[in-house]
Amino acid sequence: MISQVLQSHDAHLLTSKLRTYHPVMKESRVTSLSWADGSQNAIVISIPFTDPDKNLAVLQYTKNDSNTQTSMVKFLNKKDLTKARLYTVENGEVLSFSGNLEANNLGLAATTQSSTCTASILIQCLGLWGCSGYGLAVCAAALILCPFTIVSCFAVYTCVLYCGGAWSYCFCWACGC
Amino acid sequence: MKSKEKPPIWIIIGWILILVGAVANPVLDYIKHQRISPFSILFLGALLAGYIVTKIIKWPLYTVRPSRSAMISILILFIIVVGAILLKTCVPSG
Repeated sequence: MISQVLQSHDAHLLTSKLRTYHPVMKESRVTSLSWADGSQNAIVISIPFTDPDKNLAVLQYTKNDSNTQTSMVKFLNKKDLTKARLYTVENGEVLSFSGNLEANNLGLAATTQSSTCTASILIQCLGLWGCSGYGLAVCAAALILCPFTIVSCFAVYTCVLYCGGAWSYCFCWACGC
Repeated sequence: MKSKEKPPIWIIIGWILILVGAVANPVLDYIKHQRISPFSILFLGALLAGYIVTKIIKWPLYTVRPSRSAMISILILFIIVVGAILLKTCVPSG
């Protein structure tokens, strides 16, 4: 369901406005709502986005019995989640509005702060910095070759400094310092 | 060892792996996230800087018999990095 939302035409239009942002899939939330009188049901999907500077945004998808709505909220200040810019799609065009949010419910939906200090969360965080999977494999290859060719030692130093910094950031983010 | 001698096959394979990896990293970044991470650029830059430095100080590009101290340094570095990751990952949060 979440990947279907991300692949929808409206989501593509909205995310094209925030090209430096990428989704934090694990922090996505799906909420089902039903009216007290049973007249309508709805599903709300919140997908947090973040950029390399750790700015926050959230893609909100709402589907009820009669229609669907996709919008994106970009938080202008990561420390103050009441100031935001709202992006919506109308007739295939992206419209944007700036303003203060009266409540920070959207902010809570977009908050990527995690309290779970687990290996999978840390690896996922390192992946955002390019330090997991393929990047890490290249670093390991450079490390093995380092004693034999000094060129790869330069690459290893880059890996240690950059990924070490990323590790320090991710550990504080997930587990606290 | 003179640098004009042909390097052994495993060093050539290592170079190819690292160069292909260094070039593929930003390409994969762009395909997956529509952006290139700073790490990809830094890694390529470090390889280029390393090559230029070896040319400037006229060091051989490779050796098949690294010194014992070099091997020990790399081993210690490897243990520190892997040990830190395992230790930090396995210690539960307070």
